[in-house]
This record gives sequence, structure tokens and C-alpha cells, in this order.
Amino acid sequence: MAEAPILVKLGDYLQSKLPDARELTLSNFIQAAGGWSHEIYVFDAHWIEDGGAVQRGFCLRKDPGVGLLRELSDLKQQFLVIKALEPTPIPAPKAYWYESDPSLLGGPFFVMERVPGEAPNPWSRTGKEFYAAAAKRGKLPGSFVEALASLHNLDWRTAGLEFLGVPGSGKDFALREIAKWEGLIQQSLQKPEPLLTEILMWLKANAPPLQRLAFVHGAYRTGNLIIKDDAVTAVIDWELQVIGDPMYDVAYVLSDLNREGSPLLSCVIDRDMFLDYYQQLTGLEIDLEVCRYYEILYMMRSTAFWLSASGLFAEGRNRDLRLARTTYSVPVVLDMAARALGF
Amino acid sequence: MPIIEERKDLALNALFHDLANLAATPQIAGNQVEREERLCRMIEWLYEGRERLGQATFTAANRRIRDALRQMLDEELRIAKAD
Repeated sequence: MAEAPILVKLGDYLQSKLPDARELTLSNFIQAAGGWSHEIYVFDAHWIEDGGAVQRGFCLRKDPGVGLLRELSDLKQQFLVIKALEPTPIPAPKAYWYESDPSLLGGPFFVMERVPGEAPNPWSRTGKEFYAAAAKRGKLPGSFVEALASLHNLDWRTAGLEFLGVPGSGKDFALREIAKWEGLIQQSLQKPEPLLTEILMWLKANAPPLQRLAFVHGAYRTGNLIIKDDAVTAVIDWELQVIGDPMYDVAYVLSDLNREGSPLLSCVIDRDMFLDYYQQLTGLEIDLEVCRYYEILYMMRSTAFWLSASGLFAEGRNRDLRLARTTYSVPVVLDMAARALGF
Repeated sequence: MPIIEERKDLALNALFHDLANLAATPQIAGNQVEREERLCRMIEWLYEGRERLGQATFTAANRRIRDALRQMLDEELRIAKAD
């Protein structure tokens, strides 16, 4: 017997989770273009309940088994993080259900709320235009900082996020991050990369001591934020979050990695405005020297990401054509890191 | 051997020659991949032995390595940016 299409399976699954729903149907089912690590689907569900018509938007994130950062990004952990954020001021989708059973849809997955709004890709022409126009109108830059501040101001122990692991004092946080990405490099490296060794050794030798702990997103930028009416309605892509140094997120915002040709940080906010408003909202003093260190760590991270991407494609384990082009991104990011180190 | 690989090879040869004088490291034989692998180990050795070598020796050797890494990277970038 032929396997039922995903839409039928998904309808059956939702019906099992919504036993009071009658005449349940799905519509507008599309696979989102983003998502290097997981398959992302969005859809609407319609049903009758208590005599009234209900319509709700859902988003499903599924482990394809061969996605990027698979070893670093646990789907169940993502679900638990989003669940933990529900009662907090952090704008995030509601998390509904997690399923580890691959027989249901072909891989572990979770279902969450589809938050109204859009998350334009800042590397696309239309994305750049979107953020430049929003920056001119003036509301989105402030909202961008407010959402980041809500993360760093969170009492993460009360929110129950200790399960993410709490780094020790001193250099432990930076060294843990380096080790995590070095592991991915070791798995992905096809040939020796002396320049990457130099960067890794410099990072280990210059790791900054931790000043304070916060809940850190790990990839806070436009493209990972859902925006509606020039405001951040949800922070998404909860794949790399950690308890760690808030300057780690600040550095990513400051990084040239995220603005490709735009004079604005993350294509949306003026640097001075970001620095001033962030410090005002969090009461934290931005240490630019520490941020510079983390910016170089992010360049190492990007190199690891591109090495992993090109490796997956070269080995035939993932046929996503976007991965084929990433080989050429490796020397470009290494060049950024070398220049940041002064050579 | 393509010209880019030849240039990288020349940069590696010159580097190992200079490092032997700067930090008493051995001359490295072998093909390019083997020598790049040895260079990785040498970079690790220099950082790990920083105190023993002394700051001046470390800085001189590290600067020379970075010069060679820049030359080799510039060769790689010719391919990446031409694509």
C-alpha cells in the first residue's frame, strides 16, 4: 500500500491532538524557504468546535536527518526552550506538541504557533529593501533592541532554562563554545586548514573571562525575527541558545557577518543607537573588546558552518543545492577573521 | 600542478625555512597536504609552548606564519572570488 501523503498524515496527527475538533481540514500548506537545519512547514487548520468555526495557523519543524548543525541543535531542546519562554516577556511562538517517533512524519518534529508576520531574508535584495525601509520609518530598530534586551533581562533560572547547561566561572563559557564548533570542524574537515588552526589557537589563548550570565540566543539577527507592523512579534530559530555571556549576542549584532553591504547593523539599526539603547534597557555596559573577541569566534563558527554544509553536499548526504555553493564561502570568512586579527 | 598550488607550495617552503631559523623547528618534507597538516601541528606547538619559547620568539614565529597564511589564503581567494 502506498504511503499516505504528508498532508493526510498531518491531518490525522492534528485530529489526535484536537479530539474535540470536527470536520478538521488543512490549507495553505507550504514548505518555508528558510531552514538549513530542519524542514519547516506552515499551514492553516480549520475545524468546528463547540458549534463555532475555528481557524489556527501552525508551523511544523522537522528533523530531516541530514540537516546542518544536527549534532548541535536538538529538536526536543528547541521545543522545551520555546515552551519555557511562553510565560516570559520574550516574544516567541507558543509551543504545542513534540514527537520523537519518526514513524509519524518520517522524523522527529514539533508543532508550534504560526506567528503573524514575516521574516525576510536579509541577504536577499527584497529583504535588504524591506529592512532599509523599516529602518527609515524608525520603529523596527527600537523593537529589534527591545526583543534582545528581553532575552538578556530574563531570569533564566526562574524560567527553568538551567537544563541548557550553566558554564563555570572564568573562561569556561568561551572555551565551551569553541569546543562545540571545533567538534563540528573536526567532523567536516576534508583537508588541513592551517589558517583555521591559527584562529582556533588564538581564540583559546585569548578567551575572555565571563562577567555575567544571561539567556543568549546565539544567532540574534534579522531573518531570525518575525516582524509585523514594524515590530518584532517573535524571535525564532531557537537552535543555538545557551546560558552564557550576553556580549556573545551583542557581538553578533555588531558583526559585519550580518549586514553585507548595509551601513546598518543587521541591516536595520544604526550602531550608536543600538549601543545606547541596549545599554539603557539592560543596564549592561557593552565591552567592545570582548565583543571583538566574540566577533572572531563567530567567524570561526561561520567557517565551521560552511565546512559542514559543503561536506554534507560533497558526501552526497544532502542534495540541497544551496550547500554546493558554500565551499567558496570558507576562504571568504577566513579572510574576514584574518583581517580582524590583523593579517 | 596548477599555478595557485605552486604558489602555495612556495609559500610553505619559505615558511618552513624561516621557522627553522626563528624557533628551531625541523624542516618539513612531504607533499603539500602533509606539510599543511604539519603546519597545523606547528601552530598548536607554538601556542602551547608560548611561555617556554618566550614572547619575542613566539611573536616572531607567529608573525611569519601569519604572513605565509595570508599568501596562501590570497591564492584560495583567487578561486573563491573568480567563481
